[in-house]
Amino acid sequence: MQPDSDHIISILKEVVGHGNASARNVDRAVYMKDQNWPFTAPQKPDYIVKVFNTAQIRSVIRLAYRHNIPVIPLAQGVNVRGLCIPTQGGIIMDMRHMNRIFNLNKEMMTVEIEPGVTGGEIAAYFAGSGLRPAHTSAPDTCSIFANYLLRGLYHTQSSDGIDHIMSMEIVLPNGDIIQTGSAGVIGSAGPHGRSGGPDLTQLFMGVPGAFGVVTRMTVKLYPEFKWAKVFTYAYDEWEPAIEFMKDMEDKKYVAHVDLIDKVLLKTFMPIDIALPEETMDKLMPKIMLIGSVQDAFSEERYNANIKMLEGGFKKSGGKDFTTIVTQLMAGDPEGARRELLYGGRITQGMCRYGYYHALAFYGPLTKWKEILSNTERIAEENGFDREHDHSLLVIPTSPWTGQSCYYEVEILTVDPTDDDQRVRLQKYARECISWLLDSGVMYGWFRPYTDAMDAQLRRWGPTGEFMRNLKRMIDPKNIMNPGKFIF
Amino acid sequence: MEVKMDKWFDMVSNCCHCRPCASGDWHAMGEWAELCPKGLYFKMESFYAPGAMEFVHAYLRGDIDPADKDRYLEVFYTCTSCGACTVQCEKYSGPGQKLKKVDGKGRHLYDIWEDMKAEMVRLGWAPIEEHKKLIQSINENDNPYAQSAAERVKWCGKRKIKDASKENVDVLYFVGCTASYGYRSRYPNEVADATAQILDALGVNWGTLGNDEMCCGSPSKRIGQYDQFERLAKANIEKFNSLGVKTIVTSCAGCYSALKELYPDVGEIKPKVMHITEFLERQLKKKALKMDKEVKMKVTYHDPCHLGRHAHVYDAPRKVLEAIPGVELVEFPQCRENSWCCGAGAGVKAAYNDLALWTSKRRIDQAEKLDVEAVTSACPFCYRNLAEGAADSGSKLKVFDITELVAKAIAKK
Ligand SMILES: Cc1cc2nc3c(=O)[nH]c(=O)nc-3n(C[C@H](O)[C@H](O)[C@H](O)COP(=O)(O)OP(=O)(O)OC[C@H]3O[C@@H](n4cnc5c(N)ncnc54)[C@H](O)[C@@H]3O)c2cc1C
Ligand code: SF4
Ligand code: SF4
Repeated sequence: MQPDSDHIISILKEVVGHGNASARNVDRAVYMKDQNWPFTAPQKPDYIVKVFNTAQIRSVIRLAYRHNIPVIPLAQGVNVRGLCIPTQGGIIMDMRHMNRIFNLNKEMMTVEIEPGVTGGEIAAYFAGSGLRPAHTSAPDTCSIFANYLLRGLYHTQSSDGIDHIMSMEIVLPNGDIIQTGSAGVIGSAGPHGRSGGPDLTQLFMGVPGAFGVVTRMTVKLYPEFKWAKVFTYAYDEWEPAIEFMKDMEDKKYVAHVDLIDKVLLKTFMPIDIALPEETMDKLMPKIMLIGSVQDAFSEERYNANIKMLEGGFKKSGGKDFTTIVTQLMAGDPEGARRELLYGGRITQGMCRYGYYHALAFYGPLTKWKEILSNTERIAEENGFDREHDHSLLVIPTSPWTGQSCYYEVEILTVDPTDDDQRVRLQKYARECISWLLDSGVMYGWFRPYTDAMDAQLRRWGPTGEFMRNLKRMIDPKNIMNPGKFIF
Repeated sequence: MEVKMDKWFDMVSNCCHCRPCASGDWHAMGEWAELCPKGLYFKMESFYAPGAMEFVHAYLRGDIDPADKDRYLEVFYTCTSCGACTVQCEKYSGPGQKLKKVDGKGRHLYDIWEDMKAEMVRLGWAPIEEHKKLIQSINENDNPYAQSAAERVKWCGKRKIKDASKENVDVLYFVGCTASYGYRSRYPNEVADATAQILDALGVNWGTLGNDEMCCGSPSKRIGQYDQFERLAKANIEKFNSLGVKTIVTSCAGCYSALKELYPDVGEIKPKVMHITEFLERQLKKKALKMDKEVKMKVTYHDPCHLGRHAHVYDAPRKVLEAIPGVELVEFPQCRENSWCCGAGAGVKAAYNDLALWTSKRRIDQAEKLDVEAVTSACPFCYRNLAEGAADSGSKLKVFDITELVAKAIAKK
């Protein structure tokens, strides 16, 4: 507990309203753990505040700055990697109900959003409007704001890229408010991503709340697709699936494709229609390519792309599982289409066997075999079953990351109540991270997840020092989400 | 009935804060909407299902501060047991799968919330002040409304109704406390009278338990008074099984779900239990229900949580409504599994009327946007809260129980 806590909580209540702040033990317990429980030790915050606007955020930050109290911004808190766990106590700033979608600019194809806007909320808002945001395959309950801030993976069209923010408003740790992009330049007609000087927007991206609180952002919109086809192709071996996926990527005729193995696929089946484990085992192929062809403008081009897809599929020797999988996934093809084209609800399935652990990074597609065999080996050495627990997800991400791919290595059967498993999982993760850092297959980390960050920091050299100085300059008292980025 | 909180440890430890429980399925609704009434009212995470999961987890860990007691009471006693959270959790998250294995028969999130209330009763933290009268009234009058048991049948006026305890009947109409005393409430409902009219018109050989009818025990269970619930359930089961009736028909969604969903934990009911809308749907299928009078009205239908999400009865009420000549049904975007609760259930109306009315006014607001004349439902308790909500928000919308419209449509012989 912070010193003078009665005084602090009374001010917080004054700022956000009596019912929107709490220092009660049990309210604090609500925020003490997430899926990263085996890695990020559970810790209660000292205070909870529910904020609704920038003015309140600024007042809370100023108070925190004066009293050296850590502040942990929380957008929807679905993040599974310990990023909102108040490792050093402090104030949880819950922005779940600060969730306006406003200032739609059709001419510039931009809109402003607040931190609490979820993937589902923005998808529903724009459905049928002619415009669309970039959608992730993250659960629709995640904050799309926090997702853009941390950069995600966007399955609507991989060529949308990973940067969707034009400009942001940020409350800095000392309470100053700045705007990035052209929004910070008096006289611009509206927020634009480019302005003179370095790109400040990028400076605040990929940082888990450690540089300040972003209170609103102007984001890019894209033309809504008029034509879309979802496909799922099944393979008994990895090689032909990888070959075919490479062809799609090289020739750019699909919007998006995921390579999913059987272990992961089983978790996506909604429980009420899922079949018994043994039946699923028999029914599900080893590997599945799940993706979509989409087009906003040209039916001709769309049809030509479908033709290429079908030609490639024939050559690859796979089996068409589209009907079976879409039925199982969402009950009906339209449901599956919505699930795959927008932020879905079934992604929650990754928690199907309890918690899950993921290591996400970028590397070349050609390295898939090494990655698979070595992570499987490490999993097995630590007592995990390669057929049941371990999974590898591969998603091509060119052109916005050169020719690299997104890889996600998962352990899907994490039981937070099993201490032995927790120890094994910690060891597995440490060994996997070391192997990735030493083997020359890993080109970049996906997100600043704490376990991977710790290992990186030890190897950072002068760049690390520069980063530390940057953090010191922006947040001299280290009040912003301490322990989650750099220090 | 013994409460075993330990059995929930695995479930609450695995709540991964994924939060589909806090909102409906936007694919089906076409809009993004939160569905937990108390969550949206208080907005603090403690009030949403994942928050309540952590409360139970903290309790099981023994991590309780003396000052937490009031918060526990507030968080659990503002829950209407509406089941919106459980539908989404069971469908879309891992812990939902665990729920299906509890007690070997499958349980729901609201079972955790109700067990926690029962645990608080055991600890002496509950009942909360506002529920004491209700509990006392059930003990003394067999109804929660502080009404005399001797006046239970007053609703039927001069209508002659058979006493199922004394005469042979095929169908027992279990009127329920809210329909029985409904004529006395601020916005009187005529559900019982309409039901009697319909059963007569159908030529059904039916009766009631008269003044001997007792509360079904649903309010007791939902507020954690498990012993009281068990006493009522045992007495009712014994009575039902002794009558020789084939079918029991209820008006109230709460009574229905108590008899169908809760009683099997206490004992077996031999007669078939049907909600009146299921019974009427069956009569429609048999072409026995003839509705000749036009009831020209554009209406929407509010799914009672205990009928819909608890008992999965979604189609029967709609089929009955659609069969009424002149009635045009317009659906709420938030309907069926994704329905917004009326706000009254699980003792919330008695203890937190501000929350109950806010919740019902929100439903009335949603109905206003549909350009309908009336909100219909299939539960006298929903009726009561929706009628109050409509009046309080100055809405011109009328509120009807489906049976009231069916009664209007039946040509008097
Ligand atoms: C099952 C599952 C599948 C997923 N799949 C994908 C996927 O396919 N693609 C993908 O891109 N992502 C995926 N994700 C990740 C997901 O997108 C992120 O978790 C999410 O976008 C972040 O939202 P959140 O509500 O969880 O953020 P939070 O947990 O609230 O916040 C995340 C971090 O951002 C910081 N933060 C939040 N708001 C602010 C703010 N306003 N200012 C400053 N800092 C802030 C927080 O302090 C925290 O460090 C998946 C997650 C899950 C659980
Ligand atoms: S859906 Fe279930 S597991 Fe997920 S947050 Fe809600 S209660 Fe917890
Ligand atoms: S049962 Fe209803 S009121 Fe209770 S927590 Fe679930 S959604 Fe909220």
